[in-house]
This record gives sequence, structure tokens and C-alpha cells, in this order.
Amino acid sequence: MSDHGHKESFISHYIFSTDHKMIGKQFLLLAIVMALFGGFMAYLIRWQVAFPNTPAPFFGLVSPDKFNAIITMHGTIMIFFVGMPLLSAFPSNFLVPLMVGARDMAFPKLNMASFWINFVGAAALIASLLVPAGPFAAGWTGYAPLSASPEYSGVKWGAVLWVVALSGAFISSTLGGLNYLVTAITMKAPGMTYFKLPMTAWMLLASALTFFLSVGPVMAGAFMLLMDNLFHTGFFLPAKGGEPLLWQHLFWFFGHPEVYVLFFPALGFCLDILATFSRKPVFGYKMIVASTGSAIALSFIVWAHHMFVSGIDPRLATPFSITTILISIPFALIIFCMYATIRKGIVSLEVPMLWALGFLATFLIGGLTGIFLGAAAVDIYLHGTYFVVAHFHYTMFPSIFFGGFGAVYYWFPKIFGRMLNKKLGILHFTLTFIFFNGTFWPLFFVGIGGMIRRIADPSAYPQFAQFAGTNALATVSAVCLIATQMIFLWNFALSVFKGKKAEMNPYNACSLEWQAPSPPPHGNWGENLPTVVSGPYEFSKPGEANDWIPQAKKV
Amino acid sequence: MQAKAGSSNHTMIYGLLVVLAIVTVALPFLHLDKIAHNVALFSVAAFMAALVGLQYMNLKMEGPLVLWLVGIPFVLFAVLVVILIPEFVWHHTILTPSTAPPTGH
Amino acid sequence: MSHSEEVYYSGPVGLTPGRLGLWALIASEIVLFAGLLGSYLLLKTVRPDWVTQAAHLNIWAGALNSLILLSSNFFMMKASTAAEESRNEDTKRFLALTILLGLAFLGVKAFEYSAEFHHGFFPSTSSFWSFYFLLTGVHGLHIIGGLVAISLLLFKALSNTLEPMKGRVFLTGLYWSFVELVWIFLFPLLYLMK
Repeated sequence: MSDHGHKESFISHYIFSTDHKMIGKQFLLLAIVMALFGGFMAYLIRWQVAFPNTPAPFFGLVSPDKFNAIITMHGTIMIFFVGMPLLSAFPSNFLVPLMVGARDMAFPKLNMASFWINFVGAAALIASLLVPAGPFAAGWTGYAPLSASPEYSGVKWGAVLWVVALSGAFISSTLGGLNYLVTAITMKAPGMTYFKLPMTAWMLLASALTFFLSVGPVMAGAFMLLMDNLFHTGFFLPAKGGEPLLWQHLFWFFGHPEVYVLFFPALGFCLDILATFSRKPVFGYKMIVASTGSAIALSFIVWAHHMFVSGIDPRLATPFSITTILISIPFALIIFCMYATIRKGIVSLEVPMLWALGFLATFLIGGLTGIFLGAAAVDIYLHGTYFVVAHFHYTMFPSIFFGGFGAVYYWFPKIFGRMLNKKLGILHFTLTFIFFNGTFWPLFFVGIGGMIRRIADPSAYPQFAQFAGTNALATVSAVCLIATQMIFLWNFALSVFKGKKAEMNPYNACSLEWQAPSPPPHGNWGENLPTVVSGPYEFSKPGEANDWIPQAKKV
Repeated sequence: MQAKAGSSNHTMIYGLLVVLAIVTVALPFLHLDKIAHNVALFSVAAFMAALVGLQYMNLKMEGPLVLWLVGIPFVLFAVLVVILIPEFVWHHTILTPSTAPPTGH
Repeated sequence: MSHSEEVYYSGPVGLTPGRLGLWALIASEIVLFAGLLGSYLLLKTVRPDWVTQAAHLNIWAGALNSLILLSSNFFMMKASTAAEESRNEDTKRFLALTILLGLAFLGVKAFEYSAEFHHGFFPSTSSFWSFYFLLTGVHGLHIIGGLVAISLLLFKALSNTLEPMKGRVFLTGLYWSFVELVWIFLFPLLYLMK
């Protein structure tokens, strides 16, 4: 508590802060740093696949052992230490109190703990790069029995640290999620109701709820995996009476809802951005809320579509195909609502809007290709091929990066009180869009052509020789994609310190966070809490002088 | 701001729970067949859980928000177990103890 | 904060942020134990040898622990009522009894574990023992965590500083009841099921 002029030290202001805005920024910084690791690993993967057995510049030879470790670390980092912090922890921490009209989270000290627990997890994962026998290398999905025994995987401490890292991430996200939910339920400002909340708030809460209801089984599985590795127990090892597929079921029971945990926030950001830059309310607000609810429910009964070829009971294939195809309906509905939001709007192509439009275009492909994979019969052919890799990069990359960058560019003025450079933003978006598609679009065809994923040395398989040219092109594009992100880093760093000062509401948006100063002071709202009188999307209301009405009454 | 449960109420519940715990331990001595035994065990446990939940944890005073919040995980528990019955109970995956190749460890 | 006393509550009548948060935590924990217990339950149906291995478990120690934990929970409830009525002496006494019984639970469990190790039953012995040690171990960790929290409350009560946060006794009691709930299912599942 510092706005009595009580002096805070550097430590209590920047390091061990209980202010939700500082914690949000800490998560953003963590995500950026971890993305550098994850991105570098992506470069190494693409290098080895396109130019096998040649040393990668700035690294050296990517041997098969290193390849397995790198694909594992790339996945784990990008999902748990980039995706979750960037799409869930950072925006929820920063925005949820502001959007509901609170002064901070319900449990500020717990909030601080949740960041540092996440940090410890990230540190454990990075430390695992340096331990004897190297980091965990059984894929980010860690399938048993390979992952369950140092005798099989050759890795022991890497596996232990991987479980520690994931545990840190899970506990952090669970504690964070509780905080966001309780804050939104119990600390809304006078006049604020659930249906006056912007979509970002709804989606962040949906994400938090889905996460903490789904994480239990994988936590159970993680304990089991740890014990198998450390104490030679028999959870997943057949020789000891264990059951390897149990791991997959426990993992994917969580793993599938997890992808929606990452997807919902991106949807939320894009909906808000589309509304603001079309000067129109979000189309079908209540339909979107209902669809989100049904998607959450369905997300718990689709998980075995990741396991069609692992040896599950064949009778499970059809029911899971049906539920998987069903879940595309609520999401399609939401996407249609996004298009309908833009339709007949007064569209301005500010940089956040570019990211939202880019998200729509790219995610569409990801979503549609998921339907192919959700049908068991087709999946039997496509499972384990680059088609899957392309599919999930066309869903995850749009969510984490198009959605994430959209959020960063959109709320940057609120967070830092300065504007990002627009020209650099346009360049960043354009090149990212081009090179992202250049990297992953060809991989669909390579996958249909039969190229298997997670192969360290494609040159060892004559049937993959036909894909060499395509892979090389994809790699060149990937390198350009990663290099392009330097534009963002430069823009970000420069603008945080030297960007043009931002006004309170540079985009004339209606939702409550735009009525706090840029950046908001400790306590957010000054002397009195705002009183909310209208909805979050009062754009272009007929008969009004302005094309926007702020949510809270002007004091 | 929770409803006050009288302490005599707590004592009565405690007594009931102790009796039920003893019943639980006594069940094996009845030598019921497997299904009856397991169903009885589960039923007693469920009843004890209901007592703890409703009385000690004051769930009977809570509103729909908390009730849904607590109820859904049990549904998820049921989903996990029921969906996996075909998988683990009716169908043996490739490696089971009886078919696994003999190994030394 | 000049406005620090103003707290605007928008939740359901009668609910508090602390209670809502704790129930949400319990909801998440239920799914964790669902994963653990559910896995055990499913595999048990196709592992007929697990029943014979379970016969090595000490049912009387388990039963004693059931009574101990029930009693501990009972005293926690009494502590919670005492705290709410600001009866500090009673609160101290009941919290202390809760902790003592909780430690007794751990003591019995430790006795069981050492007897099992003595007989050559380790987590690595077989999948049954792996599950037994994991399930009771995770439960035990939750007991330890609970005892830490209850001890912190006792310190506060002993130094007469519990009053401003007396609601936390009930919340901690909720958690402690949850740990009891898990044991209510865990004990018959591991020790008594056929």
C-alpha cells in the first residue's frame, strides 16, 4: 500500500510487489524472455529438419539426442512458459481488476506468490538444460514408458526438473485462476454486472475456470511420472505391472482443455479489438457466452482424439470423434460472431486490429484442419505427421502470438502510459503474417505426403527426400519469422522508455479499464470507485453525439 | 459470515461419524460377496462424506455458486472413470502383466 | 490508502471472497484426487493380485487413523466456533488439540510405513505399492500443509492477535475437512476394498 506517499523500495515496488499491474508486467517479461529460448529452439529444429546433419549457425550440430530434447523443450516452453503467462497470467493480472472496477486482486499476496512460483518453475526448466544427461527429451507430451524410466530415455535429472517446472506452472496458474475468479465475482464496482463485462474479462475467467478444473489428473500423472523416474515405481512401466496408456489419458484429460485455456483469451482480446476498431458492439454477446460455456463442457470429453492410434479400446474412437466434431460448433459460432462484428463497421486498421484480423484468417485454417484430425479414420493416417504440426501451429501460434501481440499492442498505452511505434508495428505484423504462413502452410502438404514428425534426421528416410525442397523453404521462412520478432523487441524496449506519451483512452474504447489513467496508479481509481452505468460496447449508438460512451459515469 | 452451527450439532455429527467409521471397519467381517461389500463400503463412505460436507463444511447453507463449483469436479471424476472403463476394464492394452514379456528389473 | 476501508462487495449475499476462493481451491483439489483415486480404481479392477497385496496393509492402524483424523476435524470445528465467538482461550485449546491429533495421524502413518519397509514393501516393489505410497503420501503432504496453516493460526491465537483474522479459522477448517473427506474415501479404497 503506497499511495500515502509511503516510499516503496525498489524491491517492494519492482520485485516483490503485490500490485496486480506490476505482477502482470512481470509475467509479460517472463513470457518474452522464455519466448527467446523457445524461438531459438524452433530455429534449431527447422535447421536440422531442412539441412540435416549440418551444424546450425550459433549452435553446432543438432544430434538426435539434442533434437529430441529441443523439440521437448520448445513445446514445454512455448505452451507453459510463453502461452500461459502471455495469454492468461499477464492479461488477467493486469486487466481483470481494471475491467471489473476493483482496486486490486482479491488476494494480492497470493498473487505475488503465484508469480514467483511460476518463476521457480521456469528457472527449473532452464536449469534442466545444463544437468548431466541433459534435459527431458520425451516430447512435451512425455509419453510413457519412454518418459518413465532413465534406462529408456537416458535422462534422469532432466525429467525430475521437467516435472518440477510443470508443477510450478500448474500451481501458479491454479492460484492465479482462483484470484481472477474471486476478484471478478466479489469485487465488481458499483453498477457492474456480469453482462456488462467486456469479452476479454469473460474469456480470461473461462480460461481460468477451465484450467483449474482440468489440471488435477495431469498433476496426479506428474507425481506418478516423477516417482517412476526417481524411485522405480510401477505406474507406467509394464514390467512392474504399470499401465503406459494411463499417462496419456491423465495427460490429455488436462491437455485438451489446456488448448482452450490458451485459445479463449485470444478470442476475448480479438473480440474487444474488433469492436473498438469497427466502432460496433460485439455481435451476439450472450450467444458467445453460452457457446463458451458449452465449449468448456465439451472440452472435457474430447481428449482421446489425441490417442486414436495409441492402442486405446477401438470402441472409444467413434464417441470421441463425435464429441470432437461437435466442439467445432460453438467455436465456429464465435468466429461467425467475430465476422459479424466487423461487418458494416467503420473499420480502422490500427495495429491491434491487424493482429485481430490476422488471428481470424490464420486460426480459421487451424480450426478447419482440426476437423480432419478429429475424425478417427482420417487421423489414423495423419497422426504423427507434419499435418498435425501444421494444425497445432495454425491454432497455437495465432492464439499465442497473433492474439498475444494484439493484446500487447492494444493495451500497451494503458500498461506503460506510452504508445508503441505504429510503423514498426505494421512492419512487425506484415512480416510475421507472411513468414508464419510461409513456415507452416507447406507443412500441411508435407504431412499429407506422409512425412512423420519428431524425426531427427529426415535424410535417413528415402521417402522423405521429395520434401527436402519444401522443408528448406519452410526453414528459411521460419528463420525470417524469428528474426522479425526483433522488430517487436526493439519497438517494445524503445517505447517503454521513450514512446510517445499516451492519453487515457487513445482508441476511444468504452470498457472500464480505459477510464483509469494510463498507467493507472496504485489503487487504480483514485478517491472513489467508478460507478458503471452502461455496457462495454456502446459504440455508434444512434442518437448519441459521440460514437462511443464510456462505461462509468463521469464523476 | 457463515451460519453458526451449534456445537452440540458438531458433537452429534462427530458421534455419528465415529460409529460409521467403526461400521466401515466391521464390514469385512460380514464376509459379503465382492460387489455387495464394495457397494456397502462406498455407500458408508459417501454418507460420511455427505455429513462432513453438509454439516462441517456448511454446504447446506451455501448458495448455487458454491454448490455448482463443488459439484462439477465430482461430475468430472465420474466422466474420467466411466469413460475409461472400456479402456482399462473391458479391454487390455497391448502390454498387461500377463502378456508382457518376462523381464528382469 | 485514504480509501482503504471502503470495500465494495459484489458477490452473492453471505459469501465472502475467502470462502469462495477456498471452495474453488477445493474444487481443483477434488479433480487432483479424482485423477489419483480414479487411476487406482480403474487399474484395480484388472489387477486381481492387488487384493492379496493389500492384505499386508495394517487395517487397525488405518482404522485408528480414521478415528484420529475424525477427532482432529471435530476439534477444528470447535476451534472455528470458538474463534467466531471470540473465545480466545477455547480457540487456543481446540487448535492445539487439532494439531496434536494431526501429528498423531502422521505418527501412525510413519509407523505403518516403517513396518512396511521392514517387510520389504517399497514404492518400487510393485504397482500396488507404488499407488499405496503415492496416494497416502500425497494425502500426507496435504496433512502437513494443513498443520502448517493451523499452527500459524495457533501462533496468532497465542499472541492474542487472531481477532482481526478470526474468519481464517473457519476457512482453514474447510480445508481440514476436505483432507478428512479424502481420507474417508482413501482408507476403504486402499485397505478394505475387495
